[in-house]
Amino acid sequence: MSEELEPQTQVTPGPGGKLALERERQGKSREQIASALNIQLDKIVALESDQYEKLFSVVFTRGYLRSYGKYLGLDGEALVREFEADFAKAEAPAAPSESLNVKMSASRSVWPGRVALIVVLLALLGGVYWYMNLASPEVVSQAEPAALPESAPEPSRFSGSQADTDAAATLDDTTPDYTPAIELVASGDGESGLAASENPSVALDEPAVDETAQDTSEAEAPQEQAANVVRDMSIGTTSSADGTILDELVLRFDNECWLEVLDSNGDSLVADLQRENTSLTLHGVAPFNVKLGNPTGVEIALNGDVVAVPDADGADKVVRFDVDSKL
Amino acid sequence: MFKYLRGAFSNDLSIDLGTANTLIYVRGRGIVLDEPSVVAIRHHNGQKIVEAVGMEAKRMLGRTPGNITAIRPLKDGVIADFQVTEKMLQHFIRKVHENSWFAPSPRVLISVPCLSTEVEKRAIRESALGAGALEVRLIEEPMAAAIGAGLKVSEANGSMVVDIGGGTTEIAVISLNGVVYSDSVRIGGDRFDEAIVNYVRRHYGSIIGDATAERIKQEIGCAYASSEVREIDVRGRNLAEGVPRSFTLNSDEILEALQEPLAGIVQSVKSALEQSPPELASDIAESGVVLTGGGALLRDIDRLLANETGLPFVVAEDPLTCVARGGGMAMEMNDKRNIDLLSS
Repeated sequence: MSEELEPQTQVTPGPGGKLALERERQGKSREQIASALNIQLDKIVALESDQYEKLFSVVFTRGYLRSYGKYLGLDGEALVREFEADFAKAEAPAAPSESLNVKMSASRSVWPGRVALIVVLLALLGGVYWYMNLASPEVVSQAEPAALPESAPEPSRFSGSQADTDAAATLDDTTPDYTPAIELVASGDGESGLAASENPSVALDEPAVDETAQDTSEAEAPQEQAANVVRDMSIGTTSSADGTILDELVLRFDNECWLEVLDSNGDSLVADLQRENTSLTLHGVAPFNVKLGNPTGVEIALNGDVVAVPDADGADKVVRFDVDSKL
Repeated sequence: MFKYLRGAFSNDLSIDLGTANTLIYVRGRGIVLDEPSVVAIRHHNGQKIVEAVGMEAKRMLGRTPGNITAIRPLKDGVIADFQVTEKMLQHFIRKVHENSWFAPSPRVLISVPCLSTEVEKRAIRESALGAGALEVRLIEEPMAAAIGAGLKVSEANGSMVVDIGGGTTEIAVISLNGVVYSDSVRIGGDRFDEAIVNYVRRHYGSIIGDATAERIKQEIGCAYASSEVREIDVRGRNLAEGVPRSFTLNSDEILEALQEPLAGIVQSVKSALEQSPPELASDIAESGVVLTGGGALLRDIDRLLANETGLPFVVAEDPLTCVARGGGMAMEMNDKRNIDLLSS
């Protein structure tokens, strides 16, 4: 039995076996080696019999082989290489696969994230493009009435940029009595404004007031601004329910002023306090009866023509006068 | 926002920000950068301009004109010059992302000496963030070194690692993914070089540069007396004559020169063993101690420590890269298995 085993161990000595052979050749004992290298005797035995699983880990096995080989005058590095080639794979089959997993997981963990990011970015860009396309036709359709030169009256300073910027404030300061006029004008946004200039009856058959009321309540600032732009652009283009062309009265206030304006029927178009540096555009049938609490710094235009404001009499400064297009 | 976007196209990096060398390990790619931690700065109209970084800058050490300064921004394992460190990190991070579409903004793990103060840790973190890192995490050097060396840090078994770096020597006893005991002494490769320079000045009356001292250490340096004596020819400037002179040094002389720093390391290791809990000390005595870091390449340093302590000392495979590799593996373990090995 022993005769059968001996040739096998002789034929295939591992790095530990080579160390054992060299030690025996030099006539040294395992105890001497253990003492010289500070390695426990049982570890020397395990090493010489190539039973590396009895050692702690590969890092120590390599170190022991290196030290032992060096002590005996052998090439420690060659022993380590031999150990790695013959035994490391057999001892720890999980190690290479784990390192492979590390590589694979690294690539797996990075690329799906990158691809997902690119997809999300493209989706975002697409969403923004769609939103821009969706929003832009509205703007264009609102601006279209302004591009009609025949329907627009001769521009005055009241319909200029200053009036545009003040329009939002005017809208806020209006009273419920004034609302119909404002609503009518504001309904000039988009298609109805254009329709009013070309075919007033069609435009007024539509419940423009209700739509405008909804728009006014729901609209956000940009939409409000767009409506105001249209209102100022559409001077002289509005008409009454029976098709009568309405006159436009624009008032600009440099100072704070209370005012009341009645149309030819005696209906109140506005009765409110106006803040300084604001303007107000009203539509109705002339002549208008205007009452100003502080006429200083008030400028009035009817259908684009400037109307002179009478000087105030007495201490209360209140002026009452009529504004008529026929004057 | 853009930083996160760039982060998606950057690799996770483990950086061994060493006093002597900076190594970068990339997940799945291994060690991708190993360069000296040296930056050459040009002074121009009161401004500092980075002239060269890494290997190129190291060649300039001691050979620069007046307006260029080649400096090592890390000293004793911690940042000595914040701005220069930031520039250096920025350069290295870009270098490992050369084929990237965007300016890189990677997640970064940096190893720090185990006894670093909060201020020192913060300086390293801020420096990496300033260099473009998306996220910075820190790990104690000996823990990274142990993982990189292949020690089974997660087992209920004491393991001891001695990491001899350029500026410091880190000693730690590790068990169950935690550092049980650690110590850091400001002795490392730089002190070895310094000791050689001083020895040459004392015994040969000549001055040699740091680069020459490092070459002497690498070629004939040893930590334990051996029958094999090696020699090297060096040239230095003779102090008395003021002219360059050539002389020959042997390994025994270098062993004598290195006695003081080596004694410091031996003393620290002994102190660590004394302070280890008995169960863990028993485990260490049975298995041994692992040496990592560039200092572990000093010939026969394992033999010196084994003789002085009576324990087996083994040098880890590729000791220079253990910390960087270990940091990368710690990141992996942290992400995949939620094992937190990182320092706060």
